[in-house]
Amino acid sequence: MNNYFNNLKEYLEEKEINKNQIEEIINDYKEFYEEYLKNGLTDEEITIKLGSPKEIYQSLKGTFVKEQRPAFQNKIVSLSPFIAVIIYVLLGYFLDAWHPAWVVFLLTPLTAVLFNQGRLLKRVTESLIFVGIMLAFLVVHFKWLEWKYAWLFFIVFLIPSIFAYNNQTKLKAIISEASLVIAIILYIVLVFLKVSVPIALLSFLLPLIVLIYAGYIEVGFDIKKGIKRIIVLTSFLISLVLFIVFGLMFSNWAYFWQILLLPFMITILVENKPNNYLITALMPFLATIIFYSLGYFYGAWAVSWLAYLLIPLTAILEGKPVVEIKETDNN
Amino acid sequence: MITQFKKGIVELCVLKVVSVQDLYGFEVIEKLSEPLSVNENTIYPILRRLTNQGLFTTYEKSSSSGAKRKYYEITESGKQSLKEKLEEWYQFSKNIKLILGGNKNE
Repeated sequence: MNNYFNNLKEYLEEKEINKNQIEEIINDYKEFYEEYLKNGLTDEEITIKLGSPKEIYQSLKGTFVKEQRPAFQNKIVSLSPFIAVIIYVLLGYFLDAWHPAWVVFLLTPLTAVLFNQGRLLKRVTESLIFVGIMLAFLVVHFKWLEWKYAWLFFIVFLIPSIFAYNNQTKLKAIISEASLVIAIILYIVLVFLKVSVPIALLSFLLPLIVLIYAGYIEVGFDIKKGIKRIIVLTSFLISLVLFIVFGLMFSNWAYFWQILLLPFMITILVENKPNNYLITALMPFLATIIFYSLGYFYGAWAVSWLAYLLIPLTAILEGKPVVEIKETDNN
Repeated sequence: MITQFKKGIVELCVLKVVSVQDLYGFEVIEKLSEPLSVNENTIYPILRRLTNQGLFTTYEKSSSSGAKRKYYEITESGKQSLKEKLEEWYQFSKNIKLILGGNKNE
């Protein structure tokens, strides 16, 4: 019995339900438990009857009021690891001060202590995952690869991690995002390897198939009918034509591939619903364009990858820390 | 049965049984689970939501064995909401009867 309620408590804590509500729910379920016990049910029968912590959480979803904390405090703590990485790389790269610059990573635990969230350990651990990925990236660069190629490691690990980090993101969204990342990498690598452009372009068939198959609702690839369908299909065709025209006109296929990102962005804009994280949804594409443009034109690969930090940064800034009571069961 | 539709009916029944007499959570579940084929994971969220909306208040009372129980009591706005929902339900069921009953004279 204790185990069951401990698991329920832990699960609700993970979902950041506030302490009072958790206590109330646990007490209510304990009451049900006692009543079933009196009715002669066994421990095992009762736990099956009451359901798993996940089932209980799902059924109660529309009834929670999330703890209201000052939004800026949450955001400062969440932003700190990314700010630390930016400062670290800029100090290291421009002043060659990698050694003392590492102290900026103390910013994360420091802000967590300053704005004590009551879930200090959890927040620090979460932040350290991102910092770990970024440090691994730097190690890859210093040990094995030039900046120009090392960012591939970064794009492969950081973007899927961000999507995995967001609890609300469904698996199909992660897979779709990953397929797009793979296609971009594959295309660039093939172009650098002097493979003919039409063949390299086939890379983009992968995300296209995945997106159609997954019905990518999260960022709005669920195109069903009417004007939206026409806009999206037209944007795919126009981008393809523009890509070919620009590519031929400037004899440059290694830069203008980014035109192919436009229809995906247009789809997000067309399908975006109110309250969706529009800028966050667009940011992976914008970050790629910023990153690639800075690298391509100025050779600034060493710092341009910082553009990818815009994805978590906008997600944090655009995020809404307080969730009102949702009357979802009432609709 | 359509889930949302069923939830609306269960909510109406929860309001009704608590309006007749103050009940603790398990009693509400016992009264409704069999006739409506629902379990605590349907009824308990409704109890919580109606309490959050101010249609119920709660108080604690000890049972004969000494265990504390949380009782739900309908408020004035709960009674008003029940009245409105009942009217809607009677009108709705009357219309359904007209459609399904097949009696042209009705």
